[in-house]
Amino acid sequence: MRRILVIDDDEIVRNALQAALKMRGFSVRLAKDGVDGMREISHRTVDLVFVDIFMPTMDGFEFIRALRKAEHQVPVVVMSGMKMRPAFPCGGVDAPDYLRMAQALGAVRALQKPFSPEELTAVLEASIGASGRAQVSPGGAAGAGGLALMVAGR
Amino acid sequence: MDELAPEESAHAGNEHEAVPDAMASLARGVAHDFNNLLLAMMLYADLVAWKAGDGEGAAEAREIRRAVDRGCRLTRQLQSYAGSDPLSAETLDLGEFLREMEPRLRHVLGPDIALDMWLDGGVLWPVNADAAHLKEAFLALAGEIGIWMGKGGTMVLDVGNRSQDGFIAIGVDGDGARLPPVATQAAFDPARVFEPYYISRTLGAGSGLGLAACRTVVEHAGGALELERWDARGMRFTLRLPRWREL
Repeated sequence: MRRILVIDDDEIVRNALQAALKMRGFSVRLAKDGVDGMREISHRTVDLVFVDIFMPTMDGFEFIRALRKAEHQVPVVVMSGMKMRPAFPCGGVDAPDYLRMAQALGAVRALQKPFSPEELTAVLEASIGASGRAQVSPGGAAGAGGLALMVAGR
Repeated sequence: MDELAPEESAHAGNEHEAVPDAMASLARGVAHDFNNLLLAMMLYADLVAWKAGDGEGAAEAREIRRAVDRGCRLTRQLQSYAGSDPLSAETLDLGEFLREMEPRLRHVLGPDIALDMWLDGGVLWPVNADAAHLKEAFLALAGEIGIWMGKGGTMVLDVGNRSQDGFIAIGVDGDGARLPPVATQAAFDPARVFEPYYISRTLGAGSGLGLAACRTVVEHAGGALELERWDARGMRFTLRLPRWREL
């Protein structure tokens, strides 16, 4: 059974994703922030990680950096309820391009909350495929060039 | 492609203020938190639907999903209003853009309200805007007008190039419409029409953010949205977008 780690500081989101992933036949572990996630991944092998970008203790970007520093090549899907594309100037400051930042760190997919069950299924298929084997590009972060933001349809 | 630039900003010198930082920040925070809640509701509704199959509870699960989809549209409008939405501008053929939108505009207005589109012979100047956001803006505007028109009447959309100032003017007229209740009150302040909830609170319908979100998107495309008139014939809005041309 393929194993997925879900990292999100919002318990409601963690539990909902756990239910949705279990329904699809995955084994699911939960973590409430990046530190908790690193602890979890150091004890167990996982096939895919879903991580929220904005969390109070070790956010999603810090988590991916720590993960790569520890030489874990597991594919990572980033999620956020904030917009991940570059925003227009707001308050005189351009918002950072979170999508590009995630891509640079080697995230394989990005999910804009609230994403639909159909988008979740599409990301699972694109990230770990029907075989359940992680699609990791040789010698580097998984599929860094193929980041796609799943926001279509709604 | 050569660098492109608008001739000028439609709202240069306009008295309209940008969404205050504190309010924009609050709106983004609320949208973020609601997006988490909507995600949970969406996934659980799917789970309930999966367990129900075609049996008991399937119809209710579909209704939950419909409600959540509506909530998703509301948070998108909130994010547009707050200015946190993505804008990736592209050069658009406005005539083609509006013709393609016609079925969706008719759908938003419903079967009881007619739509008349006048596209100046179809030869319109190009504009530079984010297509997805401009689409949301027109749908939001049509949605607001459709709600207060109720049943009957015609929404007229007349579009024309204006050589005097280099803008494309789009008149949106709730012809034959009754006015929203707030517009018939002595205390009606037309300058507040684009404030969130100003119109919808007397209607008891609508998201309350449609006109505000529409104005934000139009202004970020270098244009302007104004209330031109309100009288017994209904309301008329004028939406202006700058002509886009190569330098």
